[in-house]
Amino acid sequence: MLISCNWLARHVDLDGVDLDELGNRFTLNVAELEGVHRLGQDAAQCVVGYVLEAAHIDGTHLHLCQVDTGDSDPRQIICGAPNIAAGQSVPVVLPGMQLGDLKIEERTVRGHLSQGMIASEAELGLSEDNDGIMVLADPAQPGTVLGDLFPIEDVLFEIDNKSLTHRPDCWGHRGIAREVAALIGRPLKPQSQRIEYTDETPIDIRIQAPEACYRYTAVTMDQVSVAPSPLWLKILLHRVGIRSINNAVDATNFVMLDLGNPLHAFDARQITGNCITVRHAKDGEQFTTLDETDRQLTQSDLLIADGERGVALAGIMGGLNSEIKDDTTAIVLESATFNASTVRMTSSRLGLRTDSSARFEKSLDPNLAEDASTAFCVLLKELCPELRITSAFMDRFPQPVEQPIIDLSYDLVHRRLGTTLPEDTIDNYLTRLGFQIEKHDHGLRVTVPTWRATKDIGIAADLVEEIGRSYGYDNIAPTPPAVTLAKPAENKQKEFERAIRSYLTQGAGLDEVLTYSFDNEPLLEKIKSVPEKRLFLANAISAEMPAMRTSLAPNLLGALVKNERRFDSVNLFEIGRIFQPADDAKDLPQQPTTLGILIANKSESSDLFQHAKGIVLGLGIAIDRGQPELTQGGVSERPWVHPIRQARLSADGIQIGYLAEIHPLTLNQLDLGHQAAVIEINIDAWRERRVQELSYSALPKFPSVYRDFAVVVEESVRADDVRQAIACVDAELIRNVSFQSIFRSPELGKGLKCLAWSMTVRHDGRTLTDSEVRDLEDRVWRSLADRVSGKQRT
Amino acid sequence: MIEQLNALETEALSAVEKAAEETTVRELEVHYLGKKGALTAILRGMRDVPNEQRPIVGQRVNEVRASLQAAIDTQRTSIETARIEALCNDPHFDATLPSDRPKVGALHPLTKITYHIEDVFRAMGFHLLDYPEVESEYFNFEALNIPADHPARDMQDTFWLKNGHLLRTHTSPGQIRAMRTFQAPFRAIFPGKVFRFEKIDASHEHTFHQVEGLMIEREISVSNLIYSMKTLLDAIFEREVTIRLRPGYFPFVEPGFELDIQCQVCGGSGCSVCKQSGWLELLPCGLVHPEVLRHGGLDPNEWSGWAFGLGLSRLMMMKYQVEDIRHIMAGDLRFISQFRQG
Repeated sequence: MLISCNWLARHVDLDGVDLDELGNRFTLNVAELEGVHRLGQDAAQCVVGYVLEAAHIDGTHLHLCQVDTGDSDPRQIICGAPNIAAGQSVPVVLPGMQLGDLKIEERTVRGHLSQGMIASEAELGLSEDNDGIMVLADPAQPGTVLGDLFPIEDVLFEIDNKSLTHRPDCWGHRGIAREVAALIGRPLKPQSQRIEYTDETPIDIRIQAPEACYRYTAVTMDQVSVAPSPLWLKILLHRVGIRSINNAVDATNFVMLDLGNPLHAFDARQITGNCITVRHAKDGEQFTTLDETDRQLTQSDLLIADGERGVALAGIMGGLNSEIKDDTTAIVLESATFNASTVRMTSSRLGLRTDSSARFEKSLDPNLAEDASTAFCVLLKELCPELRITSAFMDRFPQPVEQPIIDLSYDLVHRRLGTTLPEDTIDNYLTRLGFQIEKHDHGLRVTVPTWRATKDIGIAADLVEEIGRSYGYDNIAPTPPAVTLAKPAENKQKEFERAIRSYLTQGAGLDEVLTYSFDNEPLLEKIKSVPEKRLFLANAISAEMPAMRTSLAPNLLGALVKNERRFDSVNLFEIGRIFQPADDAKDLPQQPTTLGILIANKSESSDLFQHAKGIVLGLGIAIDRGQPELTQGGVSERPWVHPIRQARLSADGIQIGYLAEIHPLTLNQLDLGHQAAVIEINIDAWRERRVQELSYSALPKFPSVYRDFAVVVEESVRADDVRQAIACVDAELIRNVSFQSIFRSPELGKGLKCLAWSMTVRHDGRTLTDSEVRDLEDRVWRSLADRVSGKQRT
Repeated sequence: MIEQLNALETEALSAVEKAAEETTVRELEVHYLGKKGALTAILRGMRDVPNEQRPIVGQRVNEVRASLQAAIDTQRTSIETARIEALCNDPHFDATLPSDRPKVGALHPLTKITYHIEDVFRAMGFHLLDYPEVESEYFNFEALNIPADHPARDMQDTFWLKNGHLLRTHTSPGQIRAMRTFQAPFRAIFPGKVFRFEKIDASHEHTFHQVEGLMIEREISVSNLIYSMKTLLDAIFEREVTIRLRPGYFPFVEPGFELDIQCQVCGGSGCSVCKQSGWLELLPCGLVHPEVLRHGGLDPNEWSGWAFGLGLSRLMMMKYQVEDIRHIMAGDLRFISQFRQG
């Protein structure tokens, strides 16, 4: 929002105030200023010129003018404007002057010397009017500096609207002026305005929706002559970004920007039945707003209607059917207070945000409606002296505003601010801002002014803030809080996640990614994996992300697709939540923190299942949970899981996740040249499993003996069965059976493989004899033959 | 026999001298001096030597053994020296030849910044907590004193689920959850993903990351808040920062503030980074609103606290000068791989 300091000066004396410094204090004490802009310095330097002569230059649109600018001789200026004529008083930019980016110099146009420029209002930055040069309504002495005639120089405060959302009182210049007055310790100028009301054409007001309209007032007037606004008004409106239309419309805008209460002026000819009804629209009711757009209304929209039809969308925009026209002479002025949510809902549903709706959305003070109506009548009377008020101040105000009364102890102020302020300083801060105070034993009874009561201030803590900001937070010295010494927090969950990340990046060489918590619908459709049960968004950002993800794997596949062309090898992980609908929709869904790992490469020869298995086993050890157990097969149906090359993962007998290669069909569907494997683990579940206790046994006193077994078995035999066939022979002496290699060859024979193992044998009490070891070896071979039909490789 | 010994010595010394490999030397040692070696074989002939000559022959045997052993040791040393010299004298050694180092992965930069923040707070006795992304309207809004008709509750700002729940729009619901778990006093931070219904561009994301901080004690004041924020931010930025508080409106704090830090690029004199203001808006904070304490199960007459919310995504972008917020959630390895650990 733009605030003009010239405008502010109508409400508070700013003489001698450093406006940059004021802007800075405003930011620190009230609301954020996004900028302080100085305007009109150039234009103010222009001088008044009297056009003595304006001769048309043949074959051009130009005029050769002789202009008296107060110098001894008239100056010659070429002017291209169609409205130039002798006898006009015009603004002249003299050679050497700067106007914005434009540097004015003497120059020759079509062989004629031009000694300056006659400017339009737009060129001077005074309005948007660029149809022709500006002609002064009241002739002035040639050579008079323009800035002495009009308030052209101004300083604009650009206020961040977001920082005013809770301040309905600050949406007009007077509200800002009230804050400025408190800041600089000067009084707010009173508004002395008197209107002569009459009773000629009363208007009947009916509020049928009192919950949506707190107050509705109307005044009728006639003998209005719609005309351009005077320059001072045009300049002020232009400064704050409002286009001047005509005096009547400009007056409504001026009052809105001045007091913060939007107004609407109807053409009285179009208001039938001399009545105004405030009612909800009917579902499907059609209404054309004055931006010439047909709108379909619903029951939640509030409509202002006359005896027959809707004439305005309450608080948002008037109707095309009743707008002020050039030939309007009689006006019905609405000044009302509408419910903030009603206005906001309609405005956002229709996508129609106006200066008016933006203000009503803030919960305006209903008392402001009367001030605004009065101010409009006074202003328009000033602009059209013939104007007559033809009604009383028609006012429907079912329920006056309640003013909260808050008990505030000085002690609370001191404790919450952490500083000790004199009592009269506190009193003064509050009264300056319009609070009424009544002192009692330990504090104050504070009555909140109506303009702060609608939404902003209701409890003692709110007053502490008013006092704190008035004092200035920069003046409060920092002091350390008195904190309770407490047991150190354990933070197990975060530590567990850190241990996982640490191993996966530094031990396993994976890169961490973050992906959306949403499903990637196009990808799920491609791989025919759209889940049945999931949490749908009511307002998805796009159809491509309609629901919450139920698994990390598809998003990791998405990341693979993204990196596929640039990286032959992609190794990723993500730790994030997945979402499973609760049985009772009222409960929050299950949102387990999940680890997803995806490894992919283009090497035909690598065994990704094995690789992934290595990562997950190592991870288990690194995070003190021990290697998870793998159970081949049985991974619940996920279309991307390879039908064979898959295993369930469990810890302590509880299933925690799965490991699988990506189905070759899935890879095809995604056009991937990579092969890939995925791991998904519920790390909340894993964390809760037993931490592996570390145990120590004394170093062996007697030597270990190692024996290797190259076992030839059928392909159908599983490695772990072979290992167990060895290990089970003597659980006490056989300390370890470790895998060495797997080998296949034509010599070995079709359908056969050779698994090589190394066995460690040791007795705790003595050195084993050769014959004991040989005996054990024989028993191992017998066990291999019996259990897995294993033969010694020859 | 002496001749035999002399011949053996000559032959052996010549052989040892010619030996170029340690293994050859070893073989010669075994061959001449070993238990079953040539010298032992000659010694067996001692039986046939007359008694008076035995000392002479014996002495000669010892001489030959000693001279052979000395020659063998010398040869061994010179072979070893030559080998080491050769090893240390490779003129073609190339340290620039690329190596096959173990792969080290990258932590996401957002994780790195989160770790840093967590470490600072952990050292000061804060709990590190984690709360759900799908929240109830109660925890996200109502308990935080955000009234039913507040614009934040609109579809424009919030992702709603069809079942009536929502995606948390801030980490602040954790305030209520933490108060209910730990009661008072305590201090905690809770980082995490948050969601806003927003179209994305280089500086807007519908999914981003925040960290919330909360301290609940008997008496907390604005003065304490300023001290705490300054201390924590000094630690986070690892330098002395200048901060200022200005009024800011957030329904769950009262008084509420926007905290600015003095621009580190220009030191406060104004530059393009701080839009000439000398200050950068960093985080909202304030004293916990009495209503919020009540929803957390605490009596506002007994307890008070401060809270803040810090945008981790933005902090990370500031730290690494990341130009586009969309990189964070995109899973692009060209981005991620620039943040490898050491």
